[in-house]
Amino acid sequence: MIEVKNVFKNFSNNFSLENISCVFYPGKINMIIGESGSGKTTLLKSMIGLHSIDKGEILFEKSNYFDLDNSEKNILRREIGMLFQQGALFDFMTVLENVKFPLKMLANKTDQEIYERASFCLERVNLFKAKNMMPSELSGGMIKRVAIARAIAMNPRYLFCDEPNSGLDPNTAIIIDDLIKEITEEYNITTIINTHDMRSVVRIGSNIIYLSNGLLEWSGKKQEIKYSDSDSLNKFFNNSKIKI
Amino acid sequence: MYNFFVNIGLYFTLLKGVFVKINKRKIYFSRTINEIEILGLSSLFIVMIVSLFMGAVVTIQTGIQFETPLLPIEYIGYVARESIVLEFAPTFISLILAGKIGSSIASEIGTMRVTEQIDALEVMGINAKSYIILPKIIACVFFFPVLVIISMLVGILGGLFAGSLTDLLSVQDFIQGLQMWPYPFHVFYALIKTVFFAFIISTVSAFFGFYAQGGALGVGKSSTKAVVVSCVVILIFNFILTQIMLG
Repeated sequence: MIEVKNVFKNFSNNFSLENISCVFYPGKINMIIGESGSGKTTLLKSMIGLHSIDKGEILFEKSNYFDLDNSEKNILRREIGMLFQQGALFDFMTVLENVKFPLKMLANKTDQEIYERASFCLERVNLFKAKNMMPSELSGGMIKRVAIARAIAMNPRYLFCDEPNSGLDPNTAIIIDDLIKEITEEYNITTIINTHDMRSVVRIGSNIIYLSNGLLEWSGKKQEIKYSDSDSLNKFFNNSKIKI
Repeated sequence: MYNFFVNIGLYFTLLKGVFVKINKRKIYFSRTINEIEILGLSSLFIVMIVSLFMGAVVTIQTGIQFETPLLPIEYIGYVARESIVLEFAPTFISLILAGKIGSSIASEIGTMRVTEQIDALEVMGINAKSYIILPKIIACVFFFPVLVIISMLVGILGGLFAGSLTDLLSVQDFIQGLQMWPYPFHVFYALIKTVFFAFIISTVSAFFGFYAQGGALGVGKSSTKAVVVSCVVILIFNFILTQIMLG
């Protein structure tokens, strides 16, 4: 479980996160939704330490991330898998090398064990056949799937996904959504997805956090969205023309 | 001016993050070998071509200055050797390499930054600064002196060919000039300069790449800045090191 408590973050361009508090549960798809520029990515990146925060706490199983020393942070980071918006695959490595990379750098495993784990992860996303391809040879959907394989290689407790469906056609988006959902439930991962794709929210979302202009406007279960008293959320949801 | 000091501070913070205790030495070693191939070996051709013609031009220009019967003709070989060893091979070649390798390092690291590959490393708990930059620094610091020695040899060869092809002086006269007043310290001085220049090129370029912002345009800008700043810093350090070691 991850708990965000009273988080404040100000940028020099006047954008800020103001007093964000929310909880993300294990084995569930927790979604941060909101319009572009609402602070979703800032919150996500603050949670994984890519942005510092001005005030507040981010608790991973009761341990505040910002109270940890560097070695403790590195241990925690080994439990975090991250799926970046564009995949962020290392373009000088093959698909297999990309998935093997965190295992080679961080795990105390033999070469054979590393190969077996990486192969398993690639098979899990149905891409073992592409193991010798370079990232530049892959389609957008394949890049996301390899990124998922790399993110789960270390058996993470927490999986962060930054707009996993952006730039994908609807069918591929569904494949990626289903894959994330299956993995989350299979390994009881605390998954946090940052998106403005309401189709995705309706398909796989469990707990929803809605941000608007850096403020937490609403949080609750997916089914409760239609009873929300937030005008901004209702407008955002109605504009997507999707029904729960 | 404020930005200048901020950048100096960031540069040294970056260096502090690069030189840390490393655990997976085998991985770093193979990355360093890879970088030697990418940055060093691939520069061999341009270094040889530039050096060959540089040596030829230096010899011809020296010959033009020596059109007096008072100076022995062999001196042309001696002056060409000293010019190539002391200045042309280490400094001129380093400036060429600042353009070729500096822009390559800055654009590669800058692209990693804007495509979130550096963020991916940091989220994994891997020291991105050390993992990406250290092998490049080691590759440059160890391989640039090799390139400069090759440049010296090819430059002298170019001088020898130019002298004999233009009937400026015979091969024997040129070789006799090369053997006059040997100063091994001058070669040592040139190699010391080269090590400094290699460190400057690799770290300055890595700095601009690591802090690149703003997509493809930002990567292009950081690459240009890396080359310009590397060249200026090389020229400043050339002056300082020359004063310290020869002054």
